[in-house]
Amino acid sequence: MKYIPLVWSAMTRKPAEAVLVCLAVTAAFALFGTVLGLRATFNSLIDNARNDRLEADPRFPLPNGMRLPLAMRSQIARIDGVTAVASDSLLRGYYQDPHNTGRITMVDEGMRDVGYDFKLTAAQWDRLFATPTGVFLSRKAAQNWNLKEGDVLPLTTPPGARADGATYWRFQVLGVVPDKPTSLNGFILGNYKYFDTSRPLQEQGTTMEFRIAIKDAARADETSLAIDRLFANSGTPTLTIPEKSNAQLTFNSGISAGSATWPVAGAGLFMILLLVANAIAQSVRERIPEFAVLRTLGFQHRTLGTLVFLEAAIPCVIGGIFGTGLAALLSRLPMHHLPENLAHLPAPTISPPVVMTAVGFVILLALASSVIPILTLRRMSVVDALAAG
Amino acid sequence: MGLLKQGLIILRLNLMSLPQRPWYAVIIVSSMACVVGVLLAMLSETAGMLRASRTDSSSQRALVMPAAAGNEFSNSLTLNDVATIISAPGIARQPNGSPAADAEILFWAPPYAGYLGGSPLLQGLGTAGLSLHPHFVLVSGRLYQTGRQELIIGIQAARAFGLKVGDKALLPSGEWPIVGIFAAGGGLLESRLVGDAATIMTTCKISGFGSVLVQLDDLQAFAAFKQWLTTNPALMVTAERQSDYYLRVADGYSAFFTELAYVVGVIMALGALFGSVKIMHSAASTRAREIATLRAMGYGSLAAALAVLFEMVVLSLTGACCGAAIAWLLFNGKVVSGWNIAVELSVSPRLFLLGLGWALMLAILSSLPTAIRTARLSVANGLRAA
Repeated sequence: MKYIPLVWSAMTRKPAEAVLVCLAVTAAFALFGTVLGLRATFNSLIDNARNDRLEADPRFPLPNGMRLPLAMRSQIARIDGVTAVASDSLLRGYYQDPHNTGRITMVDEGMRDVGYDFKLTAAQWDRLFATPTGVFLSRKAAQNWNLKEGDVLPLTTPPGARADGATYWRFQVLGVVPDKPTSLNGFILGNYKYFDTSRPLQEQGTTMEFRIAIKDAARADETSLAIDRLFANSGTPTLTIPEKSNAQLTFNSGISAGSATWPVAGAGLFMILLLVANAIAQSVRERIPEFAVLRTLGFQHRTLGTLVFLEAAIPCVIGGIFGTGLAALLSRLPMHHLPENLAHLPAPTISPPVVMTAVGFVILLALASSVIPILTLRRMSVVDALAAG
Repeated sequence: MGLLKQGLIILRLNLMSLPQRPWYAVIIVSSMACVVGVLLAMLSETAGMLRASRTDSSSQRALVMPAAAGNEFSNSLTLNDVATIISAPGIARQPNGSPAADAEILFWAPPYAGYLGGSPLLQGLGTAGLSLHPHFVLVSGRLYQTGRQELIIGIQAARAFGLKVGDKALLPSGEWPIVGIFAAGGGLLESRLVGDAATIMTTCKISGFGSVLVQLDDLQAFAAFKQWLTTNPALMVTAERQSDYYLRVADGYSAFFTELAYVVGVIMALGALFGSVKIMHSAASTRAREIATLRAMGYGSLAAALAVLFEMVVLSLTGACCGAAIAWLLFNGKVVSGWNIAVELSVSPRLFLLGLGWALMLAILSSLPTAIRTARLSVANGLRAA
């Protein structure tokens, strides 16, 4: 503690440069926090997807579009290990303005048991299945479209979606429910039975996909294959994927954000490492006579080393705190206020592990940048240094 | 003119003294290399997508798709629709007199197991299909035969998904052997499996086409062509120039990563900016005497400031070239794959220029404070500096 004034005076010798170093470190850790936070977001999307849930979609384009007959449900339910089957179809349309597109996920009773990620109470599920035109909005969806319980949600759809030829659906908002962690933009749940009977006759009795609950998550791949084999020679072959695999495929394709994390964070830190190390080395070089005086006064090598390390650590800590803070601020930005192309970016999650990693790298950065000056000081000849001063 | 000449002389002096202050040069060069290298590496996927969509497409070809879908994947155009579409005005003629138009299908045909590694899209071409892909050449094996259940594969798809002649692809009617590998000038077709549309449709019970590709008489024919199609009460279709459609698809696919690349690029650039200002600031303080001496010898203050700017530009551009070279070595030509797409990453000359632009902008911004300080340096004080 008693050395703080010494370190402080060393740091404030050139205040402008000290501030610039802090700013550069802040930028590096803002980058670090953002890319690591983004990876944490993707990982949580993958982690939150479960392996005891499967999705069965049409494997190939079908004559009637991408739809599976509902009759498949009972066949899937008979497969060993399957505990529940739900059908799941999307109604796409727009609300008020053609650019304001959205979709309603039409679900049936089976979703109570399969849809772990829809946080509806038993009473809410009951209301949904008892109210033909009822919909539940998640908080994000309600916020996006500025709707609340009791409002009417009119949805305009392309011609041909309804049996009566209309292009307009009138839904009733039954309530607002929590968002699900696997969906970035919220969801709207509707009543499949009403949707199905309102469709043109040739589309009735079909679904876009089945969601399936199984007993044993370890047998997810096996059960998926069993389902696909069952329908391999039918008119509607399926492609069944465990939800977790689906999430992994989605977020790990191409050079994904996940695989770019460490190279990008590393490049940012490397850039800063050189800068901080150079700043400390220069500062120590310019103050060699000072250190010689301290040695003469009886300061140990270890104490001098600590002084240099602290001098390196202070800008790193300041930059680390502000940078990670900035990244956290970025994660709380109301995304829909950003320009349209930026609003697509999922918000980074500054989780405790991300913060801990940042702390670790702050210490590492301070250590790495002070090690050479400390060694230089150890080899310093006090007599020569005093003479030079 | 004297100003520039003086500036260049001082620049030469500055550059010659660089070996005496290696860390200064190393830090600026390496931080620019980091900024530019990361930016170009992250943009190489987008650039690869754009290049693939540009090479095998033409604005003189148009793609007709169902209006409701707006893409090639719906497979909902009937034979009647196709017959009407190819009677539209503005379609070029083949040598045999038939319209240069091709009804095509496109879908994903994943294998039972191993789809997690991804597998290519399957495109069914009609009889005119190959002539509408002018860059098409067979690399090995042979072409598929009409009526037989066999496919050929693009060279990029073969590389990305590890498929070769003799391997099989799963279709509703069973497993189809791959009998040849083709190249298509680096275009999108190269990342796909290709077969005969009529054979695929009859054996796989697919009743509709996804799109109709047509060659237009000339560039101006498109407006009338589209007008005729979209106002035809018998059709519910939309038409897009092939080049526009491919760009739209590529944009949609790479938008997220492109945005991320620019966000990362801007944050890194800020870090490099602060770092460079700092390091130039401290270098200028130690070199105040040198500059004052030059000024005393009669060199202008503006010339000295200009030299500071030039030096930074030279170092930054060197860094940008290093960064671009590293990104090129590591990523250019590498094929990455996702669900059903394969992209050859491209660190293109355009990207290289973009990197140079960023470095130049950063160099000017970061040398401004020091340049101004140099210009305003008092000669007497500078000479007295330790």
